[in-house]
Amino acid sequence: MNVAGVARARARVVRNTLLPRRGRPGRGGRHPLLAAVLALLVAVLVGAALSALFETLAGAGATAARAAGTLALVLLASLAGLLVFDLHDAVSTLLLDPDLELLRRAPVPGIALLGLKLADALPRTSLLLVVVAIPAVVAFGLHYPLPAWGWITLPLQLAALWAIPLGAGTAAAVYLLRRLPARRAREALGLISTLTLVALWLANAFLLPRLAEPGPGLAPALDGGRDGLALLAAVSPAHWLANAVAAATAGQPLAAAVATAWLIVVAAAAVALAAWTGARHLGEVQARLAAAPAGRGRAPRATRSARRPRTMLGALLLRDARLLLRDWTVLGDVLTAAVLWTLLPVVGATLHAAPPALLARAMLLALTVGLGYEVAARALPFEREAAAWQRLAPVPVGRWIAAKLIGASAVAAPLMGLAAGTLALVFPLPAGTWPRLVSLALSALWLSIALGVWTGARFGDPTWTSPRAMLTLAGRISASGLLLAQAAIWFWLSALADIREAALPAGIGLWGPPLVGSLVSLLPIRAAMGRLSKLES
Amino acid sequence: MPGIAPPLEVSDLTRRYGRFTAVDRLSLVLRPGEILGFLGPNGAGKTTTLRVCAGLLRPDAGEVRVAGHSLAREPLRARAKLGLVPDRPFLYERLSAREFLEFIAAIYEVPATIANGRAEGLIARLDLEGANDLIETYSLGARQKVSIAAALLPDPPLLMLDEPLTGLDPRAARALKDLLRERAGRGLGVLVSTHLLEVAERLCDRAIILHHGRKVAEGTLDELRRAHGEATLEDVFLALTRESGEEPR
Repeated sequence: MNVAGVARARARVVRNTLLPRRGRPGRGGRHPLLAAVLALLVAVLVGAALSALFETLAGAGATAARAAGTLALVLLASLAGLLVFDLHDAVSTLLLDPDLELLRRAPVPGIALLGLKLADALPRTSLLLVVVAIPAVVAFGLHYPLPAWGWITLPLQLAALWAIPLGAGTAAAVYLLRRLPARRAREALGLISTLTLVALWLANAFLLPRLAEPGPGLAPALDGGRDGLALLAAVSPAHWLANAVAAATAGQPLAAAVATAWLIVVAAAAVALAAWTGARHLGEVQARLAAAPAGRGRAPRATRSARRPRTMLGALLLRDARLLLRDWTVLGDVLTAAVLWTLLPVVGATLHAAPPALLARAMLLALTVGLGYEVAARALPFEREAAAWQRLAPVPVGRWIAAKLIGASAVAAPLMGLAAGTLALVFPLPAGTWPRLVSLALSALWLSIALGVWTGARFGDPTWTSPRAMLTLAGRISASGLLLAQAAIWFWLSALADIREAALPAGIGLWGPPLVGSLVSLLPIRAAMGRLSKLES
Repeated sequence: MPGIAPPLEVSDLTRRYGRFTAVDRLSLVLRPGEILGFLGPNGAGKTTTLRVCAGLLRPDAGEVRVAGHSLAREPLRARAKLGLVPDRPFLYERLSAREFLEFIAAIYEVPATIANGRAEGLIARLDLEGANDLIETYSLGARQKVSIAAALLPDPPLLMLDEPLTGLDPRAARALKDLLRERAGRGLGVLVSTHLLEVAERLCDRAIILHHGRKVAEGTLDELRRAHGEATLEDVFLALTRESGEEPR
């Protein structure tokens, strides 16, 4: 293989991706530079939050060694995420990348092909490193000052932390693809990625805020964490990195060198394992994949049902129901996300005790705006390129959007009903509170679904491979900002209505939210219709 | 056939991608009962033209009329009168072929009794096996058959096909050609974009040759051969699409 020529070609691909030339448009409408800028923005936000955490710890008198326990937990979360996401990305890369067929036919050794594809996957496999691990270490270094040699060795340590899950994930991906049908492996990993995300989210939400709680609880919490995780600390690369950084802060170069050496040795072993597995089994895996192209597995049969749509709207809804119920990775992701969003306000409640009525309202609002993102924003990109039928068939764009709004409501409303029922059991609120709460939640849900459908129309990526990434990265970040703004505005409006109740018209708590929700939702609905009617295929 | 609007009329159609002009002031008329071949080398603008005529892309200038309805001013009426077999099929992976055709029938408002008969007829004629299996398990050829059946199901006055024989086995290819001939026999219009000249020679009544987005020739196959003094359509094609500086064959 002409390594220099291949490297030049890949560099051109990267350049043309980042700086598209004028001419025929590419597919997917991605904006890689914008995505990179937004990723950096998230990294800054994470860094700022962790900086505040380490500042609290330093202010409370926690030593570098104690605070390194917290840093290790953050790095461990990144490591776990990297491992699962790298495994998912390695499988997806080996199954779905568009130039795979070309590379398989070329006289390129299997191991070189694997290397090329992993290099292509670099932006995807390094995201958690950029947005979590690096900001965490930098935030630590700001409040527990590192000597110059500590900063110099950091890139090497972080590179080792990145290489460990990449090597292990790649080796595991090759092994999995030898054993399982390709489609099943990808779907299962998609769901595991979602569950990992939830686990990381819960750990982040419940564990870290407790560590930052001021008062006498801090030191026992840190020490308790260290004692409880002693075994993990001995074998975890995240802890080695944290220990190396803490040793550098304490001016102990030997301890730092030992921890760094462990990191490098294990990283080298992981990369060697990937290379060995690739050299030994990649040919077999590629032959299997070539015999059964991506997406082909056992031939499931659609259950023949007597249901026949009588109207155009009915046909659109029945199609969406069938597609959703048959895609268990997407369905599982939606259900998991619903639980995650409901729990969001509980995080704050552990730190600042809130009245039950306020907490129940916050939980329902968090779920409603979350459902707009999780369900409605996926409704259009979920169709992938078959969404072109919207422009090909004689279907008014309003009817297509109406089907999406009704379909998303049909999925979201039962989830919200379930959450409201659970809250009613957990928080015994006065009966008079519930009509206002339900009115507020339903109004917020409707607006959130309208905004979600617009988000899907604006930022949907028809070439998505992961159910969590049906929007472009820029779209996911914009949508997250939008839903935080919604939750804040609804919460502020409802609190204002509580405070000024006497001065406002009677019953505004009942009829106000539906009025606001339905009027404001006209804007995103019109925008979504405008977007769909202008989309091109 | 006097009094019947042509299935497709295109006037001065232009479509650009940035500074690149893919289709340049193209005009054409597809007559009722005609199979029109749309020929040209790769990148000539065939697929772009078909996508603009189907409403998937917007023109920068010019007008498209489908069975007398302007695609810009009466988009729903125009779309109801056309069927497209695209180069990459637009399919829902997790529907079966039967469910997909049922969906297409519903959104084109084909009455259920008629739709059922047509769907079963198309499944049988195109030899589409496993019509109750999910489309994600289909081969390239089977996907193309589903795409063809979906375009034919509403029985539109205009059918446009972009490289329709891709992936089809000889039996299915023959069945498709017969279906297209039958449609033309009923006075419906067919526009076939292809770079397979032997297919055009056997199937088409007339052909348009496109080069760099412009129409460089139009006529029946005999007219094209006579006008350019060449023995075969291939010779005509090569002569008309020769790049400047390229040696004549």
